[in-house]
Amino acid sequence: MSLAELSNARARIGGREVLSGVDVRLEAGELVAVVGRNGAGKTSVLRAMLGLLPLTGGVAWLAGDDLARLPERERLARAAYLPQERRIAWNMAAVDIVALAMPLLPDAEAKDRAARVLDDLEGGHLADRGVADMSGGERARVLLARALNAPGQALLLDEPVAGLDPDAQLFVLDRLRREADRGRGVMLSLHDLTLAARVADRIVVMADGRVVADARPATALAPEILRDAFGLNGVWIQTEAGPTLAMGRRSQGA
Amino acid sequence: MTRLTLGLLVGLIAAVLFAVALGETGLTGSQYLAALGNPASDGGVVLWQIRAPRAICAFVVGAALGLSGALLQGLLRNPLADPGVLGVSATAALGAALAIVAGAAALPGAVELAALAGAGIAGVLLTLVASRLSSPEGLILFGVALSSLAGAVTALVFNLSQSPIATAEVMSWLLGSVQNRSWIDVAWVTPALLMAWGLATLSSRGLRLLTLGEEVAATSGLSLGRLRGVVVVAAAVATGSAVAVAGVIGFVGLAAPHLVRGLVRGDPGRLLLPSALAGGLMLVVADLMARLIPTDQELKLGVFTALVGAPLFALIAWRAAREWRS
Repeated sequence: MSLAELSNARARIGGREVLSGVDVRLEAGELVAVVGRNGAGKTSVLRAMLGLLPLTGGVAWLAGDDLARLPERERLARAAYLPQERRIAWNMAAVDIVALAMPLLPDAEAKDRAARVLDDLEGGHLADRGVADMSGGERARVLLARALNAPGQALLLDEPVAGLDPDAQLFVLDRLRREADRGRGVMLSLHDLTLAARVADRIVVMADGRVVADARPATALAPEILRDAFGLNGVWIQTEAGPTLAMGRRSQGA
Repeated sequence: MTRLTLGLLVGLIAAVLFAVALGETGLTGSQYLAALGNPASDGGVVLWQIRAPRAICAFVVGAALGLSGALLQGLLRNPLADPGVLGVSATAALGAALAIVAGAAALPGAVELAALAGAGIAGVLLTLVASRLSSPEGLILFGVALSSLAGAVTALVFNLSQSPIATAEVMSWLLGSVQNRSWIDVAWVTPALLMAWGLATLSSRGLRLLTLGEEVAATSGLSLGRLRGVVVVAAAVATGSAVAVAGVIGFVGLAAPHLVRGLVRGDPGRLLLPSALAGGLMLVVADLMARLIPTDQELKLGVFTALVGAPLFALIAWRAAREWRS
């Protein structure tokens, strides 16, 4: 049984079809990267899997049950979400933000747990600071800690490394890898194809609301898919750090 | 009870004591003593039938507005939201003005119910717009438009009214005041505040979850539709009853949450009780000052709070814009 799954999912936003018969699944213990050009449907896949984007066709399953019939609390227990949007309405302390992931726990217990998760993400020094006084990177770390702190086994993260420096990107992906190794299912959207190829067990390539590849990285990001889905001429070079994509725009003939 | 709540309660009790003890009518020491022992004495009537219900009325109305402000700011995740800015007060006032001009003021509870209905209509409209707009600025603009429209229709009511007495009555009432309010007014507004408070306590967890946006809240087990309904009903009941008893008193709903937000580390769930207490305290103090400032004609409370509140509103808007520039 998958932790989360879309079967032949269709969805529209403002009259435009953003998902056109999409089949994707997320299993326990795997890290799946969703890649594609801007507007290809990456965020829509994640939102549909969480029930945030209503389907016009097909079914979204969460741990074996039809998402549309699950009560809200059951959704919390099964899946956690990190949106791309990092706006936090109020200048709350970081530890209180992370504790939001466990709304059903008593306050003191939720705070203790939140402090431990922040520590684990090397953000213990941020615990008592207000989020409005933080840098973008620090705020991203706090929001990631909240998502990791949530009880759901399926973790769906929209651009979790966007705007982070290279070291922070590798750190975040390393922690997500660890979550998958511990048995959670992690699905994240990414723009950096090299990073995706290095960390993901499986890559889902989206183009125009369709899945054009869903396979291990070497297959999913083969040169013909890079050409068709991304408009890139690309070659994979094996380096000590892992596969690295050398690429150029097709229109430039590189 | 937190230290903040305790501090606000102590301040509130002190303010109410001052408001009961001080006033235009100077009482001698023996009259104060007589008033304490005999409520029917001259001093007793001044203290217990005039000043005390006025001070308590100011507290309950201020608390209702402070609570409404905290609820609406939390729901809309916007520091500029309050029942005045969003048009809830103006539509409540329109409801009450229509009732007065229609001659329904003689019917017990008619004006109050009309104010509540006006606030309720504003609440429903705001909820509908909020569910379709992701931009907080858009909702504020809608609220400003609603407020202007309600004000324009109220002006139209004056324009078409054939009774100068009713018009003068509405005008005076619209300026906002707790002058000459009795224990009957207190008895009317208090249950409404308690009901709003009961609903508010149900919403505190949801308001906290909304801090990270509606989608995160929805994936954190929150039923957004239910929260919207509870908050809007609570804010409409609180604002409607406050307007019904005291007319339009601006800026308390906006300012009270801001005064205490830093002291609860921004947590919108923990902000509700302190905001209500701060709103009550602000209005008791404002009414005391309006009474004690020597003018030929007593300053209307709504005029006084608007004079103080408008610059505060500009300051809050400025700071909110700066805080999130990053």
